[in-house]
Amino acid sequence: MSQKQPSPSRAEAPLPGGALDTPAWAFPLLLLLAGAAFWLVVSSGFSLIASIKFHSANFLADCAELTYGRVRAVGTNAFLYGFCVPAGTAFGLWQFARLGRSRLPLPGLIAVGTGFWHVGVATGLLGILRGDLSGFENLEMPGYAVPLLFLGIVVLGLWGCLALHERQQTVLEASHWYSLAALFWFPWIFSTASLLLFTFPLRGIAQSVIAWWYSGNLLIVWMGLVGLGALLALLPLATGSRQRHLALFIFWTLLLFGSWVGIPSAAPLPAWMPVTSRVFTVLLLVPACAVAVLLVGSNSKERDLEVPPFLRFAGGFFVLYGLIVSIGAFLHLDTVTQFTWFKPALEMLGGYGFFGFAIFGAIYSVLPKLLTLEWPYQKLIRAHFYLALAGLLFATVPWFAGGVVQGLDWRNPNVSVVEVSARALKFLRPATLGEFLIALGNVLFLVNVGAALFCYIRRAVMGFIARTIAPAGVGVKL
Amino acid sequence: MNYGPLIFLAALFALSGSWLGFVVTPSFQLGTLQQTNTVGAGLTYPLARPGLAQQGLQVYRANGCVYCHSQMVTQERTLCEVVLTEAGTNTTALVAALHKLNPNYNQEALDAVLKSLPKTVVFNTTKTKADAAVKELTQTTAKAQVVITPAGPDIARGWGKRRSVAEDYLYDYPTLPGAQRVGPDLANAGARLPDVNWHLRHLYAPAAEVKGSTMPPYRFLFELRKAGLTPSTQALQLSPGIAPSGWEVVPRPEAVALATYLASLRADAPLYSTPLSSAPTASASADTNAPAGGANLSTNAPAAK
Amino acid sequence: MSNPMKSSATGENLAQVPVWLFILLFVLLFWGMYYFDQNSGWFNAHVYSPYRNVAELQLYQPAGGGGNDRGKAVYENVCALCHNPDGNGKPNQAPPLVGSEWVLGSPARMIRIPLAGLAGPVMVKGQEWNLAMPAMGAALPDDDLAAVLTYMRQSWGNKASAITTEQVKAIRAELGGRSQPFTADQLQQVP
Repeated sequence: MSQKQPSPSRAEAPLPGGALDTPAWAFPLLLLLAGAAFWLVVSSGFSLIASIKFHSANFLADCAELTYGRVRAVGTNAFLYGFCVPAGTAFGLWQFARLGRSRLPLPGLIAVGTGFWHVGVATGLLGILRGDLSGFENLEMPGYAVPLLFLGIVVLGLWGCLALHERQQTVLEASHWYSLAALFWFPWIFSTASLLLFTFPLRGIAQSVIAWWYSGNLLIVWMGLVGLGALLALLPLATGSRQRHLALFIFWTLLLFGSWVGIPSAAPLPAWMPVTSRVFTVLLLVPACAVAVLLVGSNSKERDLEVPPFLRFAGGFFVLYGLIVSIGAFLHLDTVTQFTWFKPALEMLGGYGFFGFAIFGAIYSVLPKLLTLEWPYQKLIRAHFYLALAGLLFATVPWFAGGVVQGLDWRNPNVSVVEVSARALKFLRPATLGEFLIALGNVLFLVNVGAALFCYIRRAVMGFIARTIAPAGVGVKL
Repeated sequence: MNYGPLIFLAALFALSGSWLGFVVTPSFQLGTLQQTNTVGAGLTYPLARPGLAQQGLQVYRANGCVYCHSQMVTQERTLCEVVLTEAGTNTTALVAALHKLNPNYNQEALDAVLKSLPKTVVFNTTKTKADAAVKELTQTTAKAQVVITPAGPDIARGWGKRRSVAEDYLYDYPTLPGAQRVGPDLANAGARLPDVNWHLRHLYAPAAEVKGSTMPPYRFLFELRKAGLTPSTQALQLSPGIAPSGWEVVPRPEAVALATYLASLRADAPLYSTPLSSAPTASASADTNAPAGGANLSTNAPAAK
Repeated sequence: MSNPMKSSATGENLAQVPVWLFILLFVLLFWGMYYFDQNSGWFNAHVYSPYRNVAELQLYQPAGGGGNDRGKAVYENVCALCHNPDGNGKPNQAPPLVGSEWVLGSPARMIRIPLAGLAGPVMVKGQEWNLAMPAMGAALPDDDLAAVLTYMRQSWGNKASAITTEQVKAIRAELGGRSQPFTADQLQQVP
C-alpha cells in the first residue's frame, strides 16, 4: 500500500515512509486519545473553578450546577474516567497491537468501545452537574452512566485480547504484562464496585469500604500498572534479565500489596481493616524502592531524543509518592495529615505527577510512530512539560505544607474552625496558580493532539481523493 | 511460551486476595449489620432517619457537601476517671485511701473533696488503675465509680463524644464519611446545633451566622418572594441587610430537607464497641434537689382533688 | 533479544534483584504480621481502634447500674407515645404521670394499671379523664415492668418508693390473666 502513496498527501505532510502506512486500528485509537485529551482540558477547567471558589465564596455560588461539590466532582471524574482510563487503555492497546501483524481484525471494535466510553463519560459528567453524583469519592459517576462505561471498557479490552491473540512474537516483555494486567484489573474493580454500590447496594458503611477499596485499586494498582508499563516500554532502561527480574518483582509486589491500600486509618470500621490497609501501605515501600533501583539502573547517557522528559520525571514521582505514603503510614503521620490538603496533594502527585506524566510521555513518543507524522507543534511539547512541572510544584508543595499545618491545627482544639480554614487559605493561593498552569499545559496538549488528528484526517481524505479521482484523471501513480 | 493466561491468573490471584479481604468479608461482616442496643439504657440503635432527613441526605450528596465535611469522629485514647459519689461512714479510712491515691492531696483539699461530692478524685488513668482505685475506695464504705471518656483531638473539639463506628451509618445510602475537612466534622452536627432554622439561615448566608466562615452560600436552595405586609410563616428570620430589602427568603423543600438532615445528625450513643459512661456531674446532685419541687407537686395534686 | 529473556523467565536468575530489596521485603512482612497481630483484634467486628483486642474492649466496658436506664428505655418505647417523654401526658390521649396520685400512691394500685388496663372516668390531679388505656404492660417481663414503673415514680421530680420485680410478680399472679380493664373505682378498693 505504501508504494501506492499518492503525491498530493506527501506535499501536505512531508513524512518519512508512506502516509497511508498506518494500520486500520490507528484511527479509532487516535479518537480514543483525542477524547481523553478533550476531557483532560475539561477536567482542569473544572478543577480550576473549584480552586478559585476557595478565594471567593460567592464565585458562581448562585448556580446549583456550579456549586463547589459538583464542580470538584466533575474535575476529578473527568480526569479519572475522561483522561486516565481511556489514555491508559489506548496505550495498552497500542502495545498489544504493535506485537501483531500489520492487519488486525475488527478495528471497528475500538471505535465502538471509544464511542460507548466517551458517551458514558459525557453522560456521567452532565449527571454530576445535575446533582446525580453518587457520593462515593473517585466513583462519582451516576449509576446510569456506569453501563455505558462498562460496555466501553469491555469492548476495548476484548479488542486488546484479540490483538494479543494475533501477535507474532510469542514472548511478552515486562511492559506487556503490566498493560495486560491493567486491562483486566480495571473492569474487575469497576464492575465489583458498581454492582455493590449501584445495582445491589450494600447496607451501611460496607459501601464506603467498597468505595475505598476501589479507589485504592484504581489509583495505586491500575495507575501503577499502566504508568510503570509505559516507563518500562519507553525508557532507555538497562536491558536484559536484570531489568526483567526487577520488573517482575515490581509487578508482583505492586499487585499483591497495592490492592489492599486505601482504607483510611480513621475509618469507622473494625480495627482489622484499617490495620491491614496500613500494613500493606507500608509494604508499598518495596515496589517504590524497586522502581528507584530500576530508574537508577537506566542508562541516562544514552539519551533517546524521542523520549520526552515527562517519562523520567514520572518515575521519580512514583518513587516519591511511594516513599511519602509508606513512610507516613509506618510513622503514623496520617494521624496528622488525614482530612487535610495533604490528601489532594498526594492524589495530584500520584495521578498527575506520576500517571499523567507517564501517559503524556507515552503519547508524545508513540503517536508520531503510530500515525507516521510529526507532532504539528513541537515547541508546545516542551512548553507543556514546563507548565505541567511548574504547575505540579506550585500546586502540590503548598498543599503538602498546608496539609501539615492544617493537620496540626486540627489537632489543637484551641484553634477555631474558622482560624484553621483561614490559615489553610494562604497555602491555597499558590496552589490555584499551579492549577492554572496545569490547565494551560493541558490546553497545549489538546492543541497538539487535535492538530495531529486534523493532519491525519486531512491526509486520509487527500489520499482517498487522490486514489479515487486521480486514476480517472492524469496518471499520478508512481 | 504464552504468557497471556499466566498474567491473567497472576492478576486474578492478586486481586482475589484483596477482593476476599476487602469486598467479600466486609459485605458479610458489615453488610449484614443489624440494629443494636445501646449500653446501659438498652435503647435500639440506630433508628432510621425520618423521611425528610432521609431526603436531606440526598441533597447533601447531590451538592457534594462531603468534599468539605467529614462525618467520622476519630478517637485516639480512652481515659478513665474515678468519681467519688458518697463518702460513706468511715471518713478516716477514706481520707487515707484518697491520700494514697493522690499524695498531693493535703488535708484542706481532702475536706473540700468530701464537701462537694460527687467529685473526681483520680484523673486520666487506665481502666485497670481506675478499677483498683474504686475497689480501694469502696472498701472504706464510700461509693465511687469509674467514668470512661473517649479522647482525641476531634472529641476535644466537641465534634462527638466517642469515635464513629459502623452502626452510625446503618441506614445511609450512600454513606458519606468524607475524607477532607475544609469545615468542621458533622457526625454530631445535630447534637451541637439542633435548630433547623439556624441551619436554614446558615445555608443561606454562612458568614452571617459564623463570622469568618469560608463556606459558600447555598442561595439556590432558597427563593426570594416579594415581602407582604406580614412576613410569611416559612420565611427565614434573617438579620437586616442579608436579604435584599422588600424581599423575603423562603426555603425550597430541598433546603428544609437538608437542614432537617443536618439537625438529625447525631452519633454519640454508648455502644459495646465504643465504651463510654457519663459522669455523675453536678446536674445529678441537682436532680436530687429537684424532688423538693416534685414533692410539692405531688402533695398539691391530692389537695386539689 | 527474546532469547535471553526466555531463559531468564524460568526464575533461576531471580537473585539479580538486589538482595537488600528482599531483605527489606521480609523485614517489612515480619513487621506487618506483628503489627497486625497486636492491633487488629483478629477480625472481630466490635474491636475498633484505639482498642487493640477483645480483652481490652471488655476491660473498658462501664460497670452496669448507673441510674435507671432500663426503665427509661422501656418508658420511651412503650409509654412515651401517649404519656409524653416528659411524663406530662397529652390532652385527650393520656393523663400526666408527673405528680399524679396514681403514680405516687399505692404500688399495688399502680402495678395493676399496666397489667390489665384502665377504662372509664378517672380523676388525675383534680381533672377528670375519660379514656381507655389498654393493658400495655401485660406483655412486658416482670423486671422490665418493675423498672419502668420505678422510673415513673422516680423521674421528672416524682419521688416515691421503687417497685420491685417481686411485687410485680405477685400482682400478676393475683390477677391471673385478667383481660378486663379496671375502673378507677375498682382500683380505689385496692389498698
